[in-house]
Amino acid sequence: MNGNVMTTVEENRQDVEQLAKREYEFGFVTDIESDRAPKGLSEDIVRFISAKKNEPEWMLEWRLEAYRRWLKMPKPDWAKLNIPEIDFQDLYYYSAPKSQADGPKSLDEVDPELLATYEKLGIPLSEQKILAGVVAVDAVFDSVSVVTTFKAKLAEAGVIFCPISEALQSHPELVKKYLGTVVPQSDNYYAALNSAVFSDGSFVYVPKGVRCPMELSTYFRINERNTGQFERTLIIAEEGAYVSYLEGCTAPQRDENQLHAAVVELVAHESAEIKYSTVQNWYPGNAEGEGGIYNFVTKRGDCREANAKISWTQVETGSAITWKYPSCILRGDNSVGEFYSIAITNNYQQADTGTKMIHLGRNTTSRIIAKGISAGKSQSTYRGLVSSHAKATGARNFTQCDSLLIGDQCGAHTVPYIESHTPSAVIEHEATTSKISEDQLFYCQQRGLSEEEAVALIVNGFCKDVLQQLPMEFAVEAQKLVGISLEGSVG
Amino acid sequence: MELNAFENSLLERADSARDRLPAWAEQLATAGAARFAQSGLPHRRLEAWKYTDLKSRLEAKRPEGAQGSRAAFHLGGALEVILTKEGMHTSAPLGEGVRIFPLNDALTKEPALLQKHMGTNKALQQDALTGLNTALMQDGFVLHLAQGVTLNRPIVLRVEVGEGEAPSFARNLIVLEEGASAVLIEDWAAPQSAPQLRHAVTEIMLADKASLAHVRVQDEKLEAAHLSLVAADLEAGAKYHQFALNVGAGLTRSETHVHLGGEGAHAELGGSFLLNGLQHCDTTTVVTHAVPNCTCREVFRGVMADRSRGVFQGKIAVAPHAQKTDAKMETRALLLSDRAEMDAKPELEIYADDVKCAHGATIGTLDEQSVFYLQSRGIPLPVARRMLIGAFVEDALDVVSDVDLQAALRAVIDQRLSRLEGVAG
Repeated sequence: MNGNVMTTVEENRQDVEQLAKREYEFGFVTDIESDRAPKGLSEDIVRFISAKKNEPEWMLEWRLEAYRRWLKMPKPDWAKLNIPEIDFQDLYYYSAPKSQADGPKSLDEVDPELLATYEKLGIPLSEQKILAGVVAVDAVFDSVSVVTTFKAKLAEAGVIFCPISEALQSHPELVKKYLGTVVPQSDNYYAALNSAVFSDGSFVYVPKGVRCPMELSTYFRINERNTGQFERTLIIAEEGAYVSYLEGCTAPQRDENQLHAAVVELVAHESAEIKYSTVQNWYPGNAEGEGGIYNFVTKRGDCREANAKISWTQVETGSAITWKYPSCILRGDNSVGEFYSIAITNNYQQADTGTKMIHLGRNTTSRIIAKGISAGKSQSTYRGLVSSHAKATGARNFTQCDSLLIGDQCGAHTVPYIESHTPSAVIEHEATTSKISEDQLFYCQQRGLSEEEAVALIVNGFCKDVLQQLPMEFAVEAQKLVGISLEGSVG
Repeated sequence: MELNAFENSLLERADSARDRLPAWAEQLATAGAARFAQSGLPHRRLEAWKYTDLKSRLEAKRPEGAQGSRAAFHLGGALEVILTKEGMHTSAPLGEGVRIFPLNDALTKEPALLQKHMGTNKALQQDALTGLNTALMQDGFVLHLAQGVTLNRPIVLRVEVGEGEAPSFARNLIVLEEGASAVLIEDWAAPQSAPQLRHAVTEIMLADKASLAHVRVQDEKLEAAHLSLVAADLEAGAKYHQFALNVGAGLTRSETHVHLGGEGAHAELGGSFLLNGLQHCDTTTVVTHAVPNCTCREVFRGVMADRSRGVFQGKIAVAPHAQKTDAKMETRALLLSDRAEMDAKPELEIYADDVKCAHGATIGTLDEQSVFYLQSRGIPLPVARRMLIGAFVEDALDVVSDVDLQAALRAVIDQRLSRLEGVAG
């Protein structure tokens, strides 16, 4: 079993290396290296970004519309988060990836703690160098062969998978048809901001009846790098199509951007299935709560026609502030929504995360499993909405949120909203809060585990329902990550 | 904040009513009116009123009709206390150490007691509606039990004051000194001349080891809006049981705040709301565990027929260091019609690690398997459904330990169920 996993991981790594080369080929990293828009946000900046990306006129108009609406919108303040004032004029909204000259020259200059974490996660040296920003992607990987294999494989299946900026050039009609149909420009404050200034992201289109031949995951691990703080992802699965998409990385990444506001839109047509997995491990700030990423994400999937299925899985361990509610609109009859989440907060991290399941169609079902683990002085909140509308006869929801507290300085909160207009709908919600029992800890320690190992083991058991939803090769890394995130929280 | 005509008329009334109060109360009233003037009636943009847009609902006309159940609550052997405009009538002497006053009497006769307790509950201090209530308080009662006094029979209290159709603001104060114990039933079945809007604030102080079983039966006429806010402060070892039965009124808000402020305090909240027509009933509870070793249990059952709407918002808050807290909250609702609605928001807010907290919420309809099972045993469909719905509601009655009291409440529930549309299928 273990051997198999390792092989899979190894294979994926090779894929990464090979795919990494692709970026170089297209050169969209290098040729914009020196560009940087002036600080601040204005219509001119929006025009600058759009021009830089050589976007069609309608796209610029769309961005400007979003910007104008954003100006009039209030910042949401309902989350149980203490968000420091953000000066939106004090940010760069367009900057090409940092040149190598700015980064550390070798691994010797990298924070040893970061390296230790990489070591524990079992990340190969070559990949460590990328993650720590020591070298550019293109400098590490020099084999070309598999890029073409990957590309050929996807093209053969008819799957379009490219940066969204590229899709705007090559498939503008598809982008125009779907962009903003799940998360409208004015959906919320951060989504509006993203709509105005998004720099890049991924575009996936899986044609009718196609089962995407590979996990669109490891590719992304590199692809995502430097797409900036406002990424925009759009995934469309046509009738009967299937795609599994994995975003993020278990390894903590060096990141200059303090504010991240991403938007992800999923569209599943009849009988299509989209599985979207996230592992988020951005810089959470130091043990005193200084620094760290503010992560404001709008993710929403639309089961547009009958029998569609959208499944969200997330492991959230990073960021100083997480504000994120991946949702499903269950419009088509018999459509299915799933949300599996692990949110781990330590030190001074704050997470307010959950989901929305909107049942509109008949016999729609949804399942929510949320596990929150708070340690240190952190605060973790599950916030979710399950609603069934008048026509959603036979709708079914099951929600389970469990919180685990480690230490008496942290907080764990549950704020579910349940709204039913449908007598034949059955909605069930349960939540528990507990701590790691002394007995469990003692038992493990008695068997020779250190206290930290014991906590990692118990917490992994607590999270099992969610971890097993992750694609295999990632589940292994995520398990390690769960343990590492809680280091220093006991004893 | 722009106030509407109704809000302004309430404030004007508060201005003219104030000088009847003693100086200390006038101060509270002035501050209360100012608080209300700032924010006006609560509306749906306030999180606590998300599902009950009071401001717009009070403006909308409520449908006319009779009371919810038409079954008067009756408990044999109880001590009946009736407050009217003329004064107070009791069915028997109150006994040693037990004192009940209409609010207006207490304001002049018991200033020390009122001054000590009124407006001290933290849950009430920021509330705009309570501010208005303080400015307009007129109806209501004060109950005081001296140290160690145990009432040997339940008190059933009916308030028949209020001036015709004008809004009535009742302010009640219940103080149980150390070790005292009582069973109090508030019966709000309104006579024909009842006000269109009733707002009752009840402040409860339970000293060490005091125990109060508190039942509220609300069966007002359908045109009426019944808003109640109960705020209980519990000291060490005190026990507070509350059962709220809401069957009447077009618009109901039944809000309870319990502050567990002494170790070993225990709260048990239960309730049923059985709604028909266009009725809207909002049950909101907030239980705060401020110190270690407190416990609470909540069980609520709602049955919604026709186009009615039920709301449950429950929050259990555990303060830092309130270790060994044990709290459970459960709410279940049945929808009997396509147009009925239920909204639930069961919340946990926890700042201590060594706690056991859980909540569960379900919304659905009758289990067809169970109905079929009963039918297969020869029970006709309407009877089978009625039995199952009755059993569903029954769970919440466990909060009430007195068997006779349970039976009296069950009688009102049964009557009510027989009048709900769709109970029989």
